[in-house]
Amino acid sequence: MMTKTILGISAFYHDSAATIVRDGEIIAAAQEERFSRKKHDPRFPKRAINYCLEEAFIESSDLDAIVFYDNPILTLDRVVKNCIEYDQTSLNQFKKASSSILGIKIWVEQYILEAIGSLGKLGKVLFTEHHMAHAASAFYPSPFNEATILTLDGVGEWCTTSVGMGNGNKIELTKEIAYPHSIGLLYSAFTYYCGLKVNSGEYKLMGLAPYGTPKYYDIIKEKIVDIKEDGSYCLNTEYFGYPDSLVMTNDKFEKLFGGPPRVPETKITHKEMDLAASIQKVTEEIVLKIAKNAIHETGIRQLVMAGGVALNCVANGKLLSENIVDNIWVQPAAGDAGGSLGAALLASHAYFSIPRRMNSNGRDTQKGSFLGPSFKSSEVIAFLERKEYPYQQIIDSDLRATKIAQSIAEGKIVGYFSGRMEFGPRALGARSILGDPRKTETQSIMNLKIKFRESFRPFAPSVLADDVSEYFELTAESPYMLLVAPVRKERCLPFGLTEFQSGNSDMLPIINQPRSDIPAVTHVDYSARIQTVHPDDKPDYYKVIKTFRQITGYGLVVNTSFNVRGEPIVCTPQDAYMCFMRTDMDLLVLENCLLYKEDQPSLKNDDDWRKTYELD
Amino acid sequence: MNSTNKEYSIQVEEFFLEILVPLAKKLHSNKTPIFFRKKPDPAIDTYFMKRKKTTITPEDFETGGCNSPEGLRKALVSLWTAEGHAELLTIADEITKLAGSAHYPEEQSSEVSPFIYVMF
Repeated sequence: MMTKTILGISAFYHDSAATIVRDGEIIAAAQEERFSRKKHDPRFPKRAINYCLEEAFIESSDLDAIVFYDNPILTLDRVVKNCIEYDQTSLNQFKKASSSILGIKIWVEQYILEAIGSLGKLGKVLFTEHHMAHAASAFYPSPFNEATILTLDGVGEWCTTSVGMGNGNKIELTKEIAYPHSIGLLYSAFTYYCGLKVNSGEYKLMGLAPYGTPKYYDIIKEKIVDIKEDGSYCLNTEYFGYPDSLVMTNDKFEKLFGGPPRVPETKITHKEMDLAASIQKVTEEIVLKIAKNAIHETGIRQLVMAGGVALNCVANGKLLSENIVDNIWVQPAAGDAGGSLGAALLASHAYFSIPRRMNSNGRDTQKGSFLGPSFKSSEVIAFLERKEYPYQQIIDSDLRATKIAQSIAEGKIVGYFSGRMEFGPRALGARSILGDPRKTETQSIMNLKIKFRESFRPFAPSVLADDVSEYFELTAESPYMLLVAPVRKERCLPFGLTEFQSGNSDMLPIINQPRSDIPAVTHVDYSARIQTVHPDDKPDYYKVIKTFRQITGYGLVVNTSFNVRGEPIVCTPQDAYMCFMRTDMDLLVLENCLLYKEDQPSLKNDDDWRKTYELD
Repeated sequence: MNSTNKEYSIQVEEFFLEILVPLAKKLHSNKTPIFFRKKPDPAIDTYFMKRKKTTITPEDFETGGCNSPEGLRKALVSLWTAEGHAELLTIADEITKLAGSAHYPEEQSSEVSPFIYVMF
């Protein structure tokens, strides 16, 4: 069979991205935001496409197919029918929606032609369906020959939730829930009401939930969402703004929850914490019931998931801990960016009938999600020399790992830039900031002095895959930081919540109390969002953690994305250096070069850098 | 907003008020809601709907796009005819006209598109 190289594109919603797949193997994938430096950039991913073409060593005219990840005609159909359904009240929404869909989205083919000068060998663009692309992104790279498939997101064309199964090359989605009923939009409505940004604040809301109690659970189920035994659900749209206005909630929603939405950047109160806990509980109920029902129908206890809601790693963890599934695999780029990957894989297998590639070692074919650009040491050194930034090159990887691990053990914060950039929202050891999980103050230092973000937000551990059950109630692999599990009981420490529970909503005193012997990665409910690190996926990172274990006895480090609040994860050595210098990081690792903060000249004319990034 | 956008905005408003709203009123007089459920129904067992197409065929890959206003019109007519929504066929021409006016390239150098919201 002739080689088939396929470009998948997702664009115009949020987090545009491109992926190139060759004969079913993922060659490259990247989000546009990493190149444009605009977080969640929805614009046509010209830069990401160019990167993918370079990585695959081909011209656009060599592409066997170009595939867009959804069907703009069906999206237009939804916009029109929605406006007819809501007639007079939806004028403003229709104005905006029609500009977007009629002005931009239906002209995908022309954007591609203008951006890359060719439509490939087919001379036309192929289109998938949004949830089919999500399903493909979940199933094809997974380690399972057959699996139950679940996709959950805000909305794609009409579909918001789909259920089916994959077997070999074949994907079948059998049933769905359609707009306006959407678990993703429901979660986003609460995100909005709690004063957080839709499409990026959902993760924060999930992190806030353990501080609260689910006081509003009953009222949400009584008034807003009906959940059937099979997990299917229906929203009472009278409480939402999104069907006919430009915001997520409306007056009726506000009346139900006792006032207007929280003003962004104001103090978070117990009300927001309780709302977060409540909607998280509702979400988990829906996800768990749907998964249970789907597995009952397919008879396959291996589950794969994608769609933005699949990033809810607390719900994912419960699928395992409550024994609903035997194994779970979640696409790390579960949101719309991953649609580009799904579209390309779907065309490979369902359009060109290319046999599916499975990994002979039983692991997935996502390549650790290290699918983005990398920089050779020679390129890094050329950059450092040109800029005259002092550095130490340490070629010996053992010695380098020792120096890095020692710094972390001394309480230093390390910017770690190594190898190909991650595809998806999580940093997995290629563009990461690392710290010591044993130190109570690591969480607040990293939040307030490094990331400049909200103090309540928890950090994740990167733990040696072999050691995971030593620290956490988890035996499965979680290579993409998509499972939450409890810290082992014997490691947990009691801590005082009395003042907090009696009404004081200041979260810092809680955060600064040790909750376990690894406090920096132990959330207030004794849970942790775990990344297991396998030597096959990321040998250099594995070596750093292993060396840290040799020094401290602990086989895990704190891992957070290499960026500040509102900034996309760094892509280039230049991005990394600027982020390093603008924050309180102590050491920067750029491939095999180490840069210490005290050696660096201060940045000139950079006082206004915070204005560069809009707060997320 | 530049003059082209203003013109388009007026055109959209006219379409909405003079064509879409009267059509909506007519359709609502026969049945409401028209296209989708708006609130829960305690009487039913499930809100899942069986999908009409459960797999994607090579032909399906070739039906999602259009490269001209006429292509858009044909795609809408084909979709609504297949669905049995004859009442919508009357607006296909008007939507095509709007698409012709709205069609503009997105500038890569500009700020992040205002159309970031997930729904649109």
